[in-house]
Amino acid sequence: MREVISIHVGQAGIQIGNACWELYTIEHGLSPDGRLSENSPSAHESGFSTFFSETGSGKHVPRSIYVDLEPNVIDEVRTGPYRSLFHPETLISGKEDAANNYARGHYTIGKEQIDTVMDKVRRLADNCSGLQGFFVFHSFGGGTGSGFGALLLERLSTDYGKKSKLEFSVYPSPKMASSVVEPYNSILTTHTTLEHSDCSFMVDNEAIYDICKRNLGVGAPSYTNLNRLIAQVVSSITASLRFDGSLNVDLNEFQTNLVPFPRIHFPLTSYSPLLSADKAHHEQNSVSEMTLNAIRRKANSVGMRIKPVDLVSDTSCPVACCLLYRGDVVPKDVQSAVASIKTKKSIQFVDWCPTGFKLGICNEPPALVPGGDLAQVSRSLCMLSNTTSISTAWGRLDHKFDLLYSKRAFVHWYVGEGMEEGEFSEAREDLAALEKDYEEVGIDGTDGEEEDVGEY
Amino acid sequence: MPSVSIFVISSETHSERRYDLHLTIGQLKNKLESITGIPHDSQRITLHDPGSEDDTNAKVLSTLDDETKPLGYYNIRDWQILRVKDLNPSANFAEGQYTDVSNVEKFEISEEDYASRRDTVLAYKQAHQIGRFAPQAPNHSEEESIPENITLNARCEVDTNDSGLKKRGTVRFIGKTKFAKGIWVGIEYDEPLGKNDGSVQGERYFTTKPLFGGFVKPDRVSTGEFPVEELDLEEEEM
Repeated sequence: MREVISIHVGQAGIQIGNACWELYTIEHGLSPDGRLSENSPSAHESGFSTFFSETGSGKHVPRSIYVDLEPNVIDEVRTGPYRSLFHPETLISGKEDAANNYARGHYTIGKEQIDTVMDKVRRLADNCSGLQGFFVFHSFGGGTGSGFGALLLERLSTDYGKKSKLEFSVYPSPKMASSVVEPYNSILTTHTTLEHSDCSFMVDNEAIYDICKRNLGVGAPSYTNLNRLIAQVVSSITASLRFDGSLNVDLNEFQTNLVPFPRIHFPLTSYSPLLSADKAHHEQNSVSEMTLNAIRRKANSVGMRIKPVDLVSDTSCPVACCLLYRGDVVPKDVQSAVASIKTKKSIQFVDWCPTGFKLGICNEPPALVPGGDLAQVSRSLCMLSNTTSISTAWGRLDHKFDLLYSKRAFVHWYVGEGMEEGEFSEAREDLAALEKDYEEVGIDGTDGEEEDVGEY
Repeated sequence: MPSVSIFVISSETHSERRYDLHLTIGQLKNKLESITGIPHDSQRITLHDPGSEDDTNAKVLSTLDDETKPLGYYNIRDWQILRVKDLNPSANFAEGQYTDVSNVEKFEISEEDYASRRDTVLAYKQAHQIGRFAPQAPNHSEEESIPENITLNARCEVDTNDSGLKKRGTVRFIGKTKFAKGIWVGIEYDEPLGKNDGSVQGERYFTTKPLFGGFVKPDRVSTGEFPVEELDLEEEEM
């Protein structure tokens, strides 16, 4: 069995976790306390045991850990509708929050928690027969998400060096920050995790917020609305690991296909169709239409990308791309959809990256969440694309960091928690090198040898 | 422990938070300081109705000013909005001070420093001799000759870089061009899968409808019996 352990860190990580596990239980026909219903699509399958362990009494328990430095968010889980789904020991909360401070999450407060957490991770890992790796869910901006998330990835790297470590990272909104020190936290956590994470899927709250408002007609979207959308993306990515008979079933494959160079590991995600129930009947949502929508540069009514909104520029250069289809989809349709895209768009992959489009098909259609904003559809597509355009996002974040740091604003909060000031400049220089890395990747994408130009 | 989910909004930030209702306003202000950057003593916290995020003049339901009172005292409900204002902006920060980057030069790493790092893409490409560090392919210095099998107006199929995808058309030009070295074959495709209308960089070699024309190297062209294909894919402009 190829088990995967999901670790949800901080408010963002946990609330995304709530939406994900809600969706997983619905997809696998599990009740909120983890029992299989009679007509469950997974009743005769074993695929979902990668994400759930079965107890002697027939209860299915998520292979997950929730960790937060303060109690409020996890308390909500402990009293919520899914309270008996999770093993109580895997819900770990402390008493004192990280106060939006990377240094508190990574050093002072985090240090007190990490051993307990690693202990629980060990117990889950020992319960696996062939652990594939870890999914770590966290935000870049929060204190726990950035600081403790980084500490956790460091420790996972030490203790489970050979296992895959994939992140789902909530990237700070370009327009509206969740806290004033978000640029610090983001750059510090990215620097620390850069060598420990194999792949980090980027999620932009602002883009999803816009989707909820414009595409799905949600008046004042809360994180619950946002996270349900994110959960559909996460579910698409993990579907092939949870359902039998799917193409593309290995965590390593994401890495192999999406990450040509260890540091260039921040794919953007997009999802299609994004339809509210009242619009769904008017849309054909064919495989080719869906594919076009996902890959389309500009937002439109159905296929908006879940990604930093204004990233895609004309100079963007895809390094690699995964198309993960779900539901009523046959390979032939996918092949022709991809072929037609390739003729329509001048998508030029960098020449030294082996892959073009990696395709995955899972026959289980996306599930409808009661009270959710998305319509029930028979098929969906999640696109993961590693493109050089994301360096614009790093650049913007780096520049905001420079603005704060030039005034040494709030630096004393970090130094007060025992962090060396030198870590700021070290992290910032690493991120500057990362921007250069993307430039370096792009060089081979745009200035091809004459032989590669191919067609005039 | 009873708690509440609320939106916290200040001039520079916007976030959703979950707080224990037993939290005193004094403790809340400490938490809000690390979010908004506004010092404890300069904060003015007002409570507003849900949905008034974008309205800076939204009705004030109450002002949370008694530091000894718990959050619960103010009868706060889920999804209401706490707006935090800076009472002393000149001493603390002017609006945009932490977001307006126009006055600060962005730090860039120097070429030397970048080149001296060991874990970069540059170092990786050098070590593996890929991309622009790949060994140069031997130059075709000898004059290319026009392949005999490619003739004007012959039906043909063109290999694309993607295996499995071939484009069909008719040969309309063979020979040297002004846009690139060597011999090029001009194709009029059956569908608008080309790059031009038979002219490149202002020089016309043949004429087609826009996007029906293209030029490729001879080794990608096979001539023969290639009738026009029926394609069922709808053509949609991106």
